[in-house]
Amino acid sequence: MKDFIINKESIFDIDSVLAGQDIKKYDLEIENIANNLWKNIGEFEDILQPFFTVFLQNKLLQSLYINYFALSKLSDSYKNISVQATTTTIDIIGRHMNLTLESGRKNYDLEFDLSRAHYFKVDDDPNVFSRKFFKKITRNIKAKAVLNYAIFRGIDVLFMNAGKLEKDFSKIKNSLDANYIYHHNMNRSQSDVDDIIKTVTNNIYSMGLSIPNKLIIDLLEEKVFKYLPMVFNQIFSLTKFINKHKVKLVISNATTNEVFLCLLAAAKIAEIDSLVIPHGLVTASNQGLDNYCTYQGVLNDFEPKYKGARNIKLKLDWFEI
Amino acid sequence: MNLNIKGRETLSSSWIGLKYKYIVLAPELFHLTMSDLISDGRKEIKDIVHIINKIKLDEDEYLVKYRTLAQFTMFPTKDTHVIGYGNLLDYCTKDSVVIGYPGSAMLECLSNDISFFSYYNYEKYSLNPNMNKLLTQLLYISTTKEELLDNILHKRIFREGYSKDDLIYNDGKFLHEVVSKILSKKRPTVI
Repeated sequence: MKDFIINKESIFDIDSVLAGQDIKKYDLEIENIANNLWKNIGEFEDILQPFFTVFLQNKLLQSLYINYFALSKLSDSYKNISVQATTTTIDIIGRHMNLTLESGRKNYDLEFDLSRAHYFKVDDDPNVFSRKFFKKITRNIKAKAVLNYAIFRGIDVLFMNAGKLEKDFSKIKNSLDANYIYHHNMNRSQSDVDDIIKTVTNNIYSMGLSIPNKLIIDLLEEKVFKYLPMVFNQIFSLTKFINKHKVKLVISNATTNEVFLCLLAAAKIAEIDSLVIPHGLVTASNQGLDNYCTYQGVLNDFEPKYKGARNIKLKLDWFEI
Repeated sequence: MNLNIKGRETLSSSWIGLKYKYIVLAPELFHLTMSDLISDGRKEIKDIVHIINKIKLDEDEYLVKYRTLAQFTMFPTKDTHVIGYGNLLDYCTKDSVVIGYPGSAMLECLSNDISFFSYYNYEKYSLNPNMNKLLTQLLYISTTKEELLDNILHKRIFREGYSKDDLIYNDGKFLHEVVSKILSKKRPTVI
């Protein structure tokens, strides 16, 4: 028996060993995990409902399950599997299966769309001038100036733009891109987060699954639990900003990204209106946003509609080509 | 960066005005369900190119279009290709035929009277409730290369009773108009 090497080329071909296999049955299991993720977490169950569930169901859990079954099959045919190129899910499975995880292996989470880290601005504090990078200083000065001018002028609308709609947002009077708001550390977050992690972990261990439950927990620790403090900080920082500056409306043109969801969550806590809009054709929706937003801008009759949101017919600037 | 050499990346802008009769949009989606394998997406490009080679005239050129380098790494091709975001129309003429997943590129093409033939196996989506399957009511979406050939030969783009007018609401309001109405507490017209 030979060795199988996962390298920069074969990493994209691992799933081919599952072609033609009856693996659809695991989709329901994955859906069940995502749907019950935040069950019984208490005070924040409603608020966190849309968070990470689409990411889990559309990317993380699929990757974990597909790689688990693919690597299990490869393990039967090869004496050893050497991991020279990896993803978070392959590493988790590799540790469980005792695969050879080579030191210096390259991580391909970005290529496999398994990363949220780049969405969270963990060290981009516009209130602190970094001496390390000129670019960062310039950016911080600009951010501070934009924020202070907006506060001086008055802010009716906070928005987040996932792309394509720069012109559309620029025409809204008294508006501010919420990315300019610095997120403070909120003292109450950590104990809330610890309690939530405990409940979610129990939820996962209580499920009968086709792969070891511990793999799911390891995945959640790497890709969900780690980001919960940031999610809480952003939600409560934005809520505080909304209340302090009497913001009336928030707009997000992404519904499956946690950073954008923080803005919608803040609006829900502050009890102000929220509007979700598409930036192009809607490929994926987030069922956790049912009964979550006030308004939904829609482009045609072929978009999923969120329960409880009032639908408004919308057109976007980039249509006027 | 090479200039339109077969099997290499072509210029990623329209500086010299290269236009193509056929444009293949590389797959973007993978692992959305258990049966949504990367190996299927890789085969998809080959299937579409196979159909194009069947129907194209000798002088017709085709291009495989990617949005990101990561997408190219995931679904590589040895055919002429370009990597760029938001510039599809730069490579099209009114006679171009674009084939691929019916996303925003489909809206762009069909709104501008450029033929777009949708190709994606929506059955893979059926077990993921987050995915929007409503477009199958509006468009013919080929799930096999045989269906794609049939749809191109019969110019089947919109399903019966639908047209490009159904892509975007004609009476939709711009975002700043919608916001003004919400803020003025005049309840905006809702559907």
